[in-house]
Amino acid sequence: MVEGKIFLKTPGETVYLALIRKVIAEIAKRVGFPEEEVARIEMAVDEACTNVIEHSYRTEDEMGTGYEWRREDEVDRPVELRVKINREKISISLTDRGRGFDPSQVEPDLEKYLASVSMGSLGIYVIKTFMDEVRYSHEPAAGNVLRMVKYFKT
Amino acid sequence: MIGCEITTRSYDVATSTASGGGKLVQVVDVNGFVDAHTYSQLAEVLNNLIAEGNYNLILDLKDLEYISSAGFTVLLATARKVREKGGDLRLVNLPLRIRKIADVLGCSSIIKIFEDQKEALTSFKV
Repeated sequence: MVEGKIFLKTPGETVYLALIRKVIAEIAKRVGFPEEEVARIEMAVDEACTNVIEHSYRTEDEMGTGYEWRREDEVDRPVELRVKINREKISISLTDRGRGFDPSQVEPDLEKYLASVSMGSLGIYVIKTFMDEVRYSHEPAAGNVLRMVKYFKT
Repeated sequence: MIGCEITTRSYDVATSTASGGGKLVQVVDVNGFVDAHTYSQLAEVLNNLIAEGNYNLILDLKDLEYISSAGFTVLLATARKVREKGGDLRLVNLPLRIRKIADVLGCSSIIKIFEDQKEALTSFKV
């Protein structure tokens, strides 16, 4: 088992999600998670990053029409992932500087989702179901931090 | 880095009762990944097929690397739309890791999944 810390920072754009997934899946695979768990960790992180890009970083202007994306905006909207690995678990902290979004405050109802098919709620269900621990914190200096943990099953 | 490539083929599935008549089924191959960046491409292709009057759809997911919740939502929404028109959306060749996620998310209880294309095409005959 490899122990260590990895830091990945990308602009807050959905085009970078594929890169983020590749990195996270590769780490999870290398530290010994089985394929099924790798797929779940990969998806939980993808959904969490999507929430940051689509919700935390989306301004009121962008919700409406006519918003013109500016290149410099990307600099102010990074997606930061810190991955820590030790003998018992993988911890993935996702930091953003947006208005924040706390998935732990939402109790997604799968049956209700499947009945209504609304965009968004399934992602939160994925994060909470596929990871063992999910904790959100907001600190003015650090920004919004979503900490997701997955334990190695012994 | 590739994104999502979608191609569509048309099949005429002869019904067991009508002589010379057929039932048109559209087979949509989805290659790559369907995530928050690409799901709108898939939604557009499927919505266009529906707008053109195609309500019998098969999605061949043999070369699907990844699908996010946004992608599953497109599939469920499409299934709902075509069923309202008397058709259906069926999935084939789901990679095992994606099949397992579809099971956990309840999608496989709503959308019919077949082992291969032949089996799915046959299912549209009746």
